[in-house]
Amino acid sequence: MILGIDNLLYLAAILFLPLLGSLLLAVVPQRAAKRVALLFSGLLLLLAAGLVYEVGGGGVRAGGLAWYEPIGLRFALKADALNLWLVALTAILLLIAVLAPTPTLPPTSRGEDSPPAKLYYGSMLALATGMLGVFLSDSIFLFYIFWEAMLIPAYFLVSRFAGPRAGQIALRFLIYTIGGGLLMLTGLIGLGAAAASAGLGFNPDAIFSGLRLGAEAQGFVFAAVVAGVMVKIPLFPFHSWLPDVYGESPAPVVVLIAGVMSKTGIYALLRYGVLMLPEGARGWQPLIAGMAVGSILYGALNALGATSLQRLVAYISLSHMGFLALGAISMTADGMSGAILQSFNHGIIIAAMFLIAGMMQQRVGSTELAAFGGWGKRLPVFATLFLLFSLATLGLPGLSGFSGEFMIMLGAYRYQPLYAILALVGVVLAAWYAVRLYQNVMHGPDAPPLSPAHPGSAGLVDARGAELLVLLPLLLLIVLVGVAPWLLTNSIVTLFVGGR
Amino acid sequence: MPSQAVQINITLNDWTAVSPLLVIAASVLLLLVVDLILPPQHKVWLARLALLGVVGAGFSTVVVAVAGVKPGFGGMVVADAFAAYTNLTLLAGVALTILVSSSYIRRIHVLASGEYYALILASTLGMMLLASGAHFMVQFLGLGLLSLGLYILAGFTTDRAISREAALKYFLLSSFATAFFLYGVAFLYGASGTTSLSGPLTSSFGDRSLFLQVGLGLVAVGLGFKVSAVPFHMWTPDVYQGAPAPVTLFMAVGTKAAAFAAIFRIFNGAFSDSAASWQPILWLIAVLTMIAGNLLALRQSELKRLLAYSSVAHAGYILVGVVTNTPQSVAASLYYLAVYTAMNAGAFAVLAAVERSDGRGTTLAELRGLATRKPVAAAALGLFLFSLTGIPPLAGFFSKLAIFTAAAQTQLALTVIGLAMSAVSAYYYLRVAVALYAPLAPSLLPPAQGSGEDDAGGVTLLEELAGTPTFSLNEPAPLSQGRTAVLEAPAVLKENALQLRSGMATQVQPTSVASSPEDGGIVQGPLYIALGLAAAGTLLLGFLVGPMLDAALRAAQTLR
Repeated sequence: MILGIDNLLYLAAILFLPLLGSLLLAVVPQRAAKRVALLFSGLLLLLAAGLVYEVGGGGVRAGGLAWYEPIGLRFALKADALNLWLVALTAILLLIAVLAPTPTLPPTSRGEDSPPAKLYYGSMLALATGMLGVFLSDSIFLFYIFWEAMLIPAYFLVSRFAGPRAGQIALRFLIYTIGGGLLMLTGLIGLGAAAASAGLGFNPDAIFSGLRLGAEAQGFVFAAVVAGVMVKIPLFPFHSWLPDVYGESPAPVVVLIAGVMSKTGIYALLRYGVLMLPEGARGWQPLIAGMAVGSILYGALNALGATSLQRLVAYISLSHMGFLALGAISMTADGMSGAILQSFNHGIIIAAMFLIAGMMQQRVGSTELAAFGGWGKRLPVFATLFLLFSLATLGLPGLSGFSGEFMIMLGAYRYQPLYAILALVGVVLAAWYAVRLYQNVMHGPDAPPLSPAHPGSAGLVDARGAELLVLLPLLLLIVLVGVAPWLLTNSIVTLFVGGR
Repeated sequence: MPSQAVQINITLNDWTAVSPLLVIAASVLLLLVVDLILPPQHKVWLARLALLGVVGAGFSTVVVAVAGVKPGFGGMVVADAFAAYTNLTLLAGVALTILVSSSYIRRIHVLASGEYYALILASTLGMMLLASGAHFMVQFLGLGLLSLGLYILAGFTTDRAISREAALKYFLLSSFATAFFLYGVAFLYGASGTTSLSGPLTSSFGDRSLFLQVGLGLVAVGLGFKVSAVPFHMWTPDVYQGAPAPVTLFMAVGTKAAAFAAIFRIFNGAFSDSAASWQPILWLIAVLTMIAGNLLALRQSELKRLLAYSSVAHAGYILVGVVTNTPQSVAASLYYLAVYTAMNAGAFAVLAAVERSDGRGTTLAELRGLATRKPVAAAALGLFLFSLTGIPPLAGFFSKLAIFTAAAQTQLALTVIGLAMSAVSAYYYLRVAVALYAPLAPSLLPPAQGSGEDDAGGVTLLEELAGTPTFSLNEPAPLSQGRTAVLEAPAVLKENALQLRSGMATQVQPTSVASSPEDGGIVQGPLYIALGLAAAGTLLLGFLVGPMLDAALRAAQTLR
């Protein structure tokens, strides 16, 4: 049984194109790796642009075929306003991450001959397929398969490239996410069992087509889904893998993990949590909203106290993800639309922040904030870009961070004013840490040379062409969506016409 | 007058029904004869011959199953879909064992390779009897035959004390377990009045009769030992660690498949209707096995021991399908068994490639950074470990999904425990996977000689020991070329002693490990084939979940 074969083929092409590139990378020589990866991520962006053209005005493209029905396995894909912009985000950030300079590995004791570029780009492409699969799946088990499968390439990226403690960092990241994922699987299997008991066959997808669950059963499944989600986003008490993974991995890897993979959590919270099990979500709403606010404040306070540039940006990301989760769990049309819009925007902004932070750290050979200072007068292009990105993180109107954050706050206020007020404290803190960061790096006296390798602020060169090639497209998107958020919201609001 | 001799008519059908067994039996005899006449430089043909026998048996299994041959020898041996499925699963495991063995044997210099393959195939014959026997006596025969070969194989590298210890342990405990099995059969005979397993059996004293419960419980003990279910698992880590790696592989996949085949046929087949009398026992065993296996694996740093506990844990997942006792759940367990064969055989194949002749080289510290030394072996081991964890899209995930979806409706507690324990298992599998790719951190580089003040005494003592000839005899220098080098080079011995000291401090020197000529040798042709087959199985069996489960379901339905 094949429904919508043309839709399915198009979506499957988007989904598997990066994986194909990843497999192809296994047989090309090391020096061609980057070019092959560029080719495939460029093609992916073209296909994604086609999808935006098709579905961007609202509407749905879906198709599926049977895999093994008795245990509820279907291969079904769907593109709608809920995942369209996340697919676009994945394609954009993959291309950006591939364009960014390849990180150099410190030589191992065994004297590795060359940085394993094939492994690096191959894992990135495979990770993109995993994340696209999470977004595009239209069947619960298929979603779960991609949800877990993306850990394998993420493991290779983190365990090989995240500095001297990479092994430990990767292990903690994996244990956390797999633990959460298996709890989620328990809930999804329970959903299938409930469908089987209702005579609909073992099929968790029946929840979308006729399976009625009581509030209590919904609550159990919702809790299981959230267990996976809150580790992946991550939310406040389950974030302990985040500072290391974001703080130690090379910037292009973080672009994919913080920019896109964290959004799979928000997406799952929306599609497989709040929208799929509304009655179950009600009972957990205060707790999750509390964790979201906790993330906002905890992230912001840590960003204020951070001494390392990359870790500072990591905590900014944690704080922002709290806003996204708050919008999603507010269960209002405004809040959920804002969460989707802001997922796209946050992905772009945080990618820009991590990339520019990476470039700055590369210049001074240190991640410590103390190693920076006085860049503003010597590196004007850098300073301008950094200012614009910082302002976008604090949600300045006219840049893309504003509109989504506004919608989220509106939704949060409609749900429970207290959470909105607490979140507003986070906005104030955001202004504080963003300005403090800019001052620290760009103003003040030149940082003295810290070590023979560290040139001090005096001998630095401004942004190069290759760096601008990566940063300017992101800036363009930030301004474009800031000025014209309706480009995205026109389709997103169609999701919630009924007004939940 | 003596009573008239019972007339037994052996028809052609009888021989056809056992033809896969005959192929293996003929191969055993042929191997022993050929070994005598083959010149030493052509011993490699023994492996090829053994492999040919296995492939022939597999082929004959398929033909017999497709042709629909009736049970042979008065219903004692059957050739149904179930026998075909389980036989093919364990023959696949045997084929992988032989492929892995051939390069291992060449590397470790085992001389009696003819006997080695003959014993492997003799044990295989026992396993197939267990899978195809529809009669308690045939199963007992199979149990004995498979154990007999394994006793010898476990101690095949006689110069390792640990290997001899493994053989003795396995022999003693296995004999006990087999006795339990036989005792249980006696009780069951008392309850049901027959030792045949071909039809649904009921107790003449009612479903919950003590006879039936005791009998089934004792049979569960005997077979639980073979599948290493808790609390009959004690032998597993020691024997897995002590036995040569290919033999461990053979035990882990072959014995497990065969013993589970017997469990399915007895519990889910013959006594399926009296489930109330055995379900509580097996439920408890399954829970204990899943919990203990996974928790005990957490602290292991020797990979063979770790995989031993992991095999205990996996036995627990498979038992979930047995306890649930529906055709779907048994099918899921059968599918799990096939997937488990592929991924576990693969993991042990990698260990066989890195194990040195003194049995070392498989601790976590020694495997650290394997990716830079042997990228193919490390990548393959990583794949198998991810699959054992149950991460999609690898087959390990789909087999777990199949089992737990089949169990979720009636055995919710088992499902929840199983999935929670899978989360625990992620830690010990992935710790290894991470170590494989970890760069060698400065802290793990060889410590400066005599760095630790407090253990300096230990060094001198060992250095003294190294100077004495007795030491060199007991401990063939693992880092030197061979035994001749030991006699020539006391300097090597000193280094060896230092190595031992650092080994005691669980700080192995990676550089010396890598530079050792014996370190894993080269991954040779047949081993590559075995790794490739196992990896292909680990990747493809997941996507083929539909056809595989359909075939397993057909097999499970013939049990009723």
